[in-house]
Amino acid sequence: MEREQIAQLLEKYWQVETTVEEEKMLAEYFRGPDVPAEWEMYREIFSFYEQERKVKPGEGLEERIMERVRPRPKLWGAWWSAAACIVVALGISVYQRDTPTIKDTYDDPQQALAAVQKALLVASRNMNKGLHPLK
Amino acid sequence: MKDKLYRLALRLLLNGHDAEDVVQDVMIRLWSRREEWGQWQSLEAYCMTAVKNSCLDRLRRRQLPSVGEERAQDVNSHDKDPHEKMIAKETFMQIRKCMDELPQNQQLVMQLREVEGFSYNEIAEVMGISLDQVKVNLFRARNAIKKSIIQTESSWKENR
Repeated sequence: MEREQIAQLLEKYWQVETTVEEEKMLAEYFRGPDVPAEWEMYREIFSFYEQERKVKPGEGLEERIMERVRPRPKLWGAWWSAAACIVVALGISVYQRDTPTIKDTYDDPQQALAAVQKALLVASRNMNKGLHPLK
Repeated sequence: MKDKLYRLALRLLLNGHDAEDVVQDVMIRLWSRREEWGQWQSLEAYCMTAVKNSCLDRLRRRQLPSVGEERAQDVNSHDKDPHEKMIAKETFMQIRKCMDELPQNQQLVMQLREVEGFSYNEIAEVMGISLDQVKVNLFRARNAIKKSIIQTESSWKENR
């Protein structure tokens, strides 16, 4: 590129009128071997920014981030067991709905009362029998 | 993208370890909001803004008196960063010193423009300032660097 052209671009650069592309052209020029001694300090400035662009974080950063965002196998296990629990619970509730829990055994209330009294009598008699040796 | 985020954080925090922390936080937050990515205009601008805000938060916390002393050492440890060792050249050190001493907004504009090559519009978006303010900051910063390096060069010539 012509030296005259570079001088114009530099002028625009200091006035903040250059585009990103023009600034790339300047950087390109100052990277080259034809920079006159009087522009040596500008070469330093552009090469400083170049250097800054090469700065990178330490090696392990990417792995550390990936480690944090990757879904963990353990966690998947927990999800599966949670899902399994829900399936089992649903199964049980459906099963229970199908089997009635209370069934009437007697149609006649009198008969039912007699049966209950008999059962209670048997129970109390057995209880008394059981208590007897303790006295 | 993570390199750009890291460089921005490093420019503000002057500490490689803290800068990595900030980048990690921002990337993880970004991941947790991945359903919303489609709604954002520019993922990069969003992340740069997040890094900038996160760094400014940290800088404010550094200034709290309770942690002041410990944090001050952190800032000084900037000199020990690996990339710092590479740049032994005196002019580079002069430019860096000048950059570090610029007001924060000028530093940010310089980092985004000179190092990352962002457009004026992108810089305005990341920093939440107007186009005119971007240009004013860039004008002042560029000329401050120029002035400082011209001074250094001429003082060298006098010494020889």
